[in-house]
Amino acid sequence: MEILLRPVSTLAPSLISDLISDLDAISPWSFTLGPPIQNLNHAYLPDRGQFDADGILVHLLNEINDQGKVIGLIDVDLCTPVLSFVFGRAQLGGRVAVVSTFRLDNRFYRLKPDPGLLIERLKKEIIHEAGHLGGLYHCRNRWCVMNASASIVNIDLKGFKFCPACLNYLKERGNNGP
Amino acid sequence: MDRRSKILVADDEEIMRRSLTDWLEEEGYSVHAVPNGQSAIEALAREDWDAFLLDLKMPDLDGIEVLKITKKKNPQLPVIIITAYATVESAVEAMKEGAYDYIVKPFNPEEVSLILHRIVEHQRLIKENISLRKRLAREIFFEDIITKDKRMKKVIEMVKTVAKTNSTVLIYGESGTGKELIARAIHNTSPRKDHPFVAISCGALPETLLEAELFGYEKGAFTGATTQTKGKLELAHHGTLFLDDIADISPKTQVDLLRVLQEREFRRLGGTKTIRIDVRFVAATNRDLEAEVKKGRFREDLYYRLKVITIKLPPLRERKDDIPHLVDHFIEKFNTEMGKRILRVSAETMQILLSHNWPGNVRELENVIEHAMVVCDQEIIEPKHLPEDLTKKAPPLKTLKEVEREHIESVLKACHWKISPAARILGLNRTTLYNKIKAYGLKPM
Repeated sequence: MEILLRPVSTLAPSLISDLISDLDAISPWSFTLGPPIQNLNHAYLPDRGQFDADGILVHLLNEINDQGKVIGLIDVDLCTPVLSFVFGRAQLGGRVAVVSTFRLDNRFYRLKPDPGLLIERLKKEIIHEAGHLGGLYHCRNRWCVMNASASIVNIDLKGFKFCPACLNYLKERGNNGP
Repeated sequence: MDRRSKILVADDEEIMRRSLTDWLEEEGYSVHAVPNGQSAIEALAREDWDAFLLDLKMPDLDGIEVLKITKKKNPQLPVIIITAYATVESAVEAMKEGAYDYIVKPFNPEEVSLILHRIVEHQRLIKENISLRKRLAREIFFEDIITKDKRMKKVIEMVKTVAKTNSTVLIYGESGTGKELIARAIHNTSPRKDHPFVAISCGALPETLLEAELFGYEKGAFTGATTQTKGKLELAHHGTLFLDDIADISPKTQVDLLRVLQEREFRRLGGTKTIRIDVRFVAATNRDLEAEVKKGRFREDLYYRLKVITIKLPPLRERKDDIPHLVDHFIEKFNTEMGKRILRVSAETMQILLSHNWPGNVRELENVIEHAMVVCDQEIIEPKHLPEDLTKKAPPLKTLKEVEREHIESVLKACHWKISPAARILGLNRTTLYNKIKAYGLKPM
């Protein structure tokens, strides 16, 4: 099963190409690079100074033109009506997801930039959101990639892999994934 | 992944309901969202929930009102108040009304995840606790009271009836007949079963210590009272207090206990504050309390306060038909505890068990079977595995003449066969003693 990655143009092309080859190697799915996301202004919430993750999902869904799945990669601060921030967002068992580098970057926490760590975190979050597209809920196993990403510490603690229970769920759904 | 806990959400804003539902479902919860207070109350009445997320500001029924109704109908359900910055004061009011916590929109996902995780774990422990209490109650009632005896069956029926009431119960029974077991059965089948069962053996403690144990004490009430300590009466609040060996309490403690039974209030030792309690009293004794009253050793007024309902437990020697069932029960119990596979007792062993008088009642029988099972290295318990005092044969009974012969001989031996002192000790004259020596054929050895 293929997943199309659609980055915003402001994300460095080198980061994206490294990311795709790594994701193919460590996940059960095949990732390809799709057209960039052109405009996020429609999802901007001036009163919160953040971007509505659900609005971006709706935008991605409107632009989808085949039976595949799409994950948008962006670099702005995401939130939902009830949550003060999110690292990413997906339609549970659906077709579109979005992940932002904004809070994955050390600079957000006023720490020294670490491009290697940023890629590690981004890979985990992309696999995590892809897991939601595959119908997976958050997992209580703290080492499983489907463990909730409520803080950056959670993301750094967990691994890239699915735990046996989550992997089994994906296998039962066929094609090892979405 | 875990079993999906069920969360009810009540919020009048559709976007909030949808967003919250999506996020909670991602978190692995099963969510039902309703748009107003009335629908929430209906959902609460219809199903069981693990947590309730309730918005304070709703058009029909105010969140505080919904919270009050929820707490009245289901006090155990954790309610989390959803609020905006502008209504934090109302959230504090909600906490006073029994809300578990409150979260301010938009939520920090880490904070809310933690609250929900804590609630789910708490709910799981409550359910486990209730289930264990139920198991314990069932085991005590149906497994530990083994009987085919009509009198015991009547006792059990009475316990079932008595348990539903709040009346004080007095249990009579010899040592080892299962008085505490009956008291626990009363508690575990009563409406108080989810509250403490507290037992105290009044006979085991001297007066001052018993009073400290019963009433508790304030710091400095006596030497060694270094901290304020609650007594058994307070610990049994809403539950049952079992007073074993009630006949053994001193006259002073009898007066103090009578006051508690009458007023349902007391003061800790050294304390000035009156403490009200809601306790069901079950007392037990192996003595004839009425006889103790007649002898002036037990207060009559306390006796009548205690004997509202009286239960008499028959001794094991009067229900010997139960012995084979009890033996089977104890073999099964100790097989599990000791990891053994003993099948039964032999017919000869059972005969010995049936002919014993059992002064220690069921407890003695249990100890005998435990002893036999420790010693037994085969599948069937034989007489050789029983404690010696059960199998030791009593010497044959003697005739009066045999006893007289032996006694005269032993006195003569002690007096070195001097007839005058022996006759004096035996209370006979010399001629009679000579005649008896001749008749019994006694000779110095």
